[in-house]
Amino acid sequence: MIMLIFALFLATIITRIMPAFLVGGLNFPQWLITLLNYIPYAALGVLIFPGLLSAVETPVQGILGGLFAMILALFRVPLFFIVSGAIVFVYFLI
Amino acid sequence: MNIYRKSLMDGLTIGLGYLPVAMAFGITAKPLLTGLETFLMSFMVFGGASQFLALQMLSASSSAAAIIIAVFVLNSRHFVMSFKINYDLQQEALWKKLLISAYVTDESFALSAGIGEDRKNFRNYLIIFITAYIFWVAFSVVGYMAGEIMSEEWVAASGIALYALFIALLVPAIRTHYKYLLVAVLGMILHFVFTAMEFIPSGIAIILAMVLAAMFGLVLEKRGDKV
Repeated sequence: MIMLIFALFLATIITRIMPAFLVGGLNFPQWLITLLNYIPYAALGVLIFPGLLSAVETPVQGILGGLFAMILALFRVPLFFIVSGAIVFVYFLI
Repeated sequence: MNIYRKSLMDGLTIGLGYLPVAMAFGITAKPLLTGLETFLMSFMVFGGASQFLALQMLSASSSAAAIIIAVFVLNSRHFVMSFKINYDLQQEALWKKLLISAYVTDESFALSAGIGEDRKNFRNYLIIFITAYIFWVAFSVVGYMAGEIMSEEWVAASGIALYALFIALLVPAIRTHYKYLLVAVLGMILHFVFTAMEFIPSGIAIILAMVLAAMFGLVLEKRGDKV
């Protein structure tokens, strides 16, 4: 098991650190920089859905929990309270 | 507020988002791993989705090779994220970039992408990433030890934590410009479609959806330039 964990460590660290060697002071074309700037928002979308559907017991509870978090975020509630608020909200849904 | 304190608060925010997920990991690991192995898994692998996948495959008695390949593919999305972070840290020494890169996660990446230019440097990234990391490791162990104390409903409800964090990170960006909403929604749709196509491994589906949606953002930008 320890060997497997070590192999998993290698499997996850390689993709993480590889870019550090690639991005060594070289100049990137403008389109690539623009693309990179969009990556976080694309990533957030991808991470939210469809995972949200299986986040809690039923898809509906997941979506309601997500909507609740969104409403809190729209009211500029601090991050920590959005996260804990959503947990409490879903707890009462279940 | 002092900028380092601000980074510490950001790290705490991610850490608190991790807390329930890390505890859920510890609880799930209990029948499969020893306490030391649970600790090592969080300490060395440091990836929620990857660790849960490994547990799932262990309980289905998959082969070690299959687990390693699946985790590699699933985690390869961090290549794209780390690329962006290394671009922001271009001026830093290689060892500093390597150290930060090793701690890239979905959450720390998403948060650090939104911070001000004045904080896009080694020290602030280190504070944010390491604080989050400590929470992840510590609460995996706490979950392992104290799993039975938490009621099943709380464990289930805490599944929403990371999604609430992602949504909370996305909303401020959407407020600045609707184009970010378009890119995010396209990412969701593409990921949903790719997930439905069962021949695409889930790790590949994530990367494809992420890069294609970002390319759509690039197209939006280009069209905006001409008008």
